[in-house]
Amino acid sequence: MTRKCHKPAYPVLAMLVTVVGLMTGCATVATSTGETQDPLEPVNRSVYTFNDYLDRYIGKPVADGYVFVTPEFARLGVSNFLDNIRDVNVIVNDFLQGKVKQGFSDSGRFLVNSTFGLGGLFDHATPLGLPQHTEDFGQTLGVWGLGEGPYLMLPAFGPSTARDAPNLLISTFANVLFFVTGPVALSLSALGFIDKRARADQAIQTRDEMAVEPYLFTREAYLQHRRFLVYDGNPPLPEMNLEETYAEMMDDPVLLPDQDDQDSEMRRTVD
Amino acid sequence: MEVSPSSAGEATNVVSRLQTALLTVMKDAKQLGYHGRYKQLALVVEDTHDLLFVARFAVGPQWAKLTEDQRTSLVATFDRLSIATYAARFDGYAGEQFMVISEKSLPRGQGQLVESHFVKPNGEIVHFNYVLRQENEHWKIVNIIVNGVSDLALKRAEYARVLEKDGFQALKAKFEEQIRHYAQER
Repeated sequence: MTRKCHKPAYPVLAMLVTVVGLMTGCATVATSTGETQDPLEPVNRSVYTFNDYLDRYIGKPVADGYVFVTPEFARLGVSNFLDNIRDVNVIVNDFLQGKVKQGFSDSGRFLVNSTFGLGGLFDHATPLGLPQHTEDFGQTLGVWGLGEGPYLMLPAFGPSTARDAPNLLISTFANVLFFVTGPVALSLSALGFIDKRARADQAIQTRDEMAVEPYLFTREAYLQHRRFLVYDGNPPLPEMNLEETYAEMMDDPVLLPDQDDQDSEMRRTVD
Repeated sequence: MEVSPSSAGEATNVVSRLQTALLTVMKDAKQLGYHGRYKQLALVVEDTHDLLFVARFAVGPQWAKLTEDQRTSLVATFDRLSIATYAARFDGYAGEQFMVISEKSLPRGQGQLVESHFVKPNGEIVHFNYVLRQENEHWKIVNIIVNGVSDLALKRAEYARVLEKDGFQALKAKFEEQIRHYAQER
């Protein structure tokens, strides 16, 4: 299935979309596979290998050490604090996407957690019915109708697309730590990286266990999950020609019932 | 494929059967151990999934280049891997619940879509959507979409490439390696 690029719903932002559109090529996007979306695959694979080494020798050991020496309640406080700062970026993108109600809800969340939550250390907003949302500028561009553009593997930052990459810049400006200088701000930024890596540990472990081809697994999972976020949990199903495969299977000897039964028996006894 | 009114809800029953079995092994995970979970899940996974179709679809055009023995061998190993993956991943219980949200027909006879939520103890929701196809009057799961990520699409991208680049033995060896890894870790 392809999704057409169309004009943004917000004329005042047309110029910005045009600029990013030129960057992404406003290409139609195959939703069933990232194959056609990865023209830079050789370069991306090299960066993926670099990131893998970086994570193996720095990211994971540092995150493991952080988890080991920091009590769980303290890590939760750090995560809450950093999430609260990042909520500003969420609020900006809520409104850019025209999600006014969600924007006010997230603004309320930010106010509650910044005050009663002691600067964001505690999440008092969620129990009050102000849940956390996930919005960023890449999603905003998607909501405006911009195509994903080529898949990119960014050094140190990981998977992205031409449409998602500008979020790095926007989220930096929307982060209050950017406007604070000195060693404290630097330490908090470093803590942000460590916290993110520690929280991603389970997902990375799952990928390492389940992936037959980790680069492709990462690419496909990233692209599909981003579509899920852009469509707020209701993306169009990937177009896969299931019927054709069924038709081909009709003449396949592996389908013979006795063979299938034998396989089933073998699977139950061999593990 | 047309869906008769009488079959409405049958796809949901298949998904519910799988999810009930998963919650059961999750609750008894420690007593059962990996091998106990594998044995308990084997039959229900085979009954509720069309694993032959999943393997065939995931391999893609490369399937035509495999011999009959290779196909049979690959499917058998893939079936063991599928059961092993469930046995390894659903290895504990902390109050999680499955909730079926809806069932609807997919356009152009692509089957039924059963939408469900996996609710974690902290209230976090993971979207587990299942695509089922009807074959010989039985509905079977052919795709699981977790938070928008299609298992079938992932497998198709990976398997086709490994077969094309490294060949049949390499793909089968990867399956076996994963099965051993799952059995050792738990």
